Amino acid sequence: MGRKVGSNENKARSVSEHELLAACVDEVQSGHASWDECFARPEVQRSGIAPLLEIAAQFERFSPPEPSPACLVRIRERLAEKKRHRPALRWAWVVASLLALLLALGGGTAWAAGQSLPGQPLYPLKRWSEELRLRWTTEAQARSTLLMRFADRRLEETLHLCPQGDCPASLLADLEAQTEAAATEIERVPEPDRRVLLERFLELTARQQAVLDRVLESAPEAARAGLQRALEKSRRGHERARQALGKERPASPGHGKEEPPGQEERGTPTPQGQKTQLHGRKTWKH
Amino acid sequence: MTQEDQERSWLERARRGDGEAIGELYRRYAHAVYRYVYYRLGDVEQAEDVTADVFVRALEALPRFRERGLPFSAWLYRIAAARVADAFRRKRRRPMEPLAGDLTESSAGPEEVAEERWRAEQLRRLVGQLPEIQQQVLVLRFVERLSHAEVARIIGRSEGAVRVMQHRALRELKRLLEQEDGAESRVQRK
Repeated sequence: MGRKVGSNENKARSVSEHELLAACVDEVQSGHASWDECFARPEVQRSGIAPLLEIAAQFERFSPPEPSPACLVRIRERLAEKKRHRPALRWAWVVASLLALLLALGGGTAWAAGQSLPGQPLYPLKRWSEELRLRWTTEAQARSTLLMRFADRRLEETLHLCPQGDCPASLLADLEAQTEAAATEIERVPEPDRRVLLERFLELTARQQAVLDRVLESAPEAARAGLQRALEKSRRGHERARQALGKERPASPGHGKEEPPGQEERGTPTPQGQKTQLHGRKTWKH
Repeated sequence: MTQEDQERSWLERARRGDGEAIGELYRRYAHAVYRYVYYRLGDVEQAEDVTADVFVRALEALPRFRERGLPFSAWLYRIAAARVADAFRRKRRRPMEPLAGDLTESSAGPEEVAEERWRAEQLRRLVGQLPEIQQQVLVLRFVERLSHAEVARIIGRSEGAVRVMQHRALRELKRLLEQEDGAESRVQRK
């Protein structure tokens, strides 16, 4: 019984000790007291925490080194190095790649998937293979090119589906996301390649605006808000790219001053396979 | 825009692979992570390597990071603690390098500075003998000078538990110091 009372007393003393220790350290760390002031307190002297506070004070006297600028650069380089050499794929992706390869071996299926539209059974395979390609691609320039190509595919799908009243929100969300991701990747590309990609991005967003504007005219009411939002985003992206290239806004729409020399002719696909003129001269060859 | 909003925006952009946002997060936390890792490992080269590794892991896992009460800094420290543990397993108690940090109030003479440096090194070596969780508490509280609440969030315990662990860790450290100092004075008497 006596032992139990003693154990309870020890426990109570320990409780007050850790609270007292914590309060003292807090006061010192917040600048409200010095270590000496803490040691001198009668309650500290009565308790057994004075030596513990001395050890805590020893920690405080040592400041670990700040990394030098050179060290930070080295860490950044190591970071870049690790990112380069790190296996980009997890097991799931390796399995997925093998499955995709098997599917690709059945070439008919792969081709059919490539032609599929949202809502069709093979469409997930098409999107999956795109994700896979992105996953394999680490370089910003290649990624931005891929993303612009995929955004073009979403645009083509929009053009096929939306005028017929079937305009899935996920399709427009993918269009926006891939366009935005392409812009982000382009920002990572150094000059002069960045400039070339920005020019391509300008073309992409110009095509998007032409297609979305036209689709909007005949789209059902339910799809209009989504299309309008995608159109706005595309316009903002276009404007940002134009500013990044240091270009003036064209005097009138339909006369693209910003056309880079030597670009291949491009236009906008229509459901009937016609070609829509963009900025006066471009046509999109399938 | 508050600092938290700013950080949230960087995190959102970093999740989408925005290089500028990743750079901002790196600039903001590289020092703290490095200090933590360096104190635990005591080796400049290894600390650089592990710090880089912490950021690589963090960037890879960023799409899965959701705040839910755990700040980004706390999440980084968790990753750092795990990477430090890995580094320890790899090096299997390779002798630690002496500390290269600064001693504050350096008005002391060269002998005192040498003595303090030796003490600091001894302390760090003995901290390395404590259980992992106690090491984390001590380094975060006294090297990183984080509050009880911040440490509690990082290690996933209550503030009260952190206070108790801090007390136990210092008590154990005192015991180890006494043991080592006692052994040393016995050697000197001989």
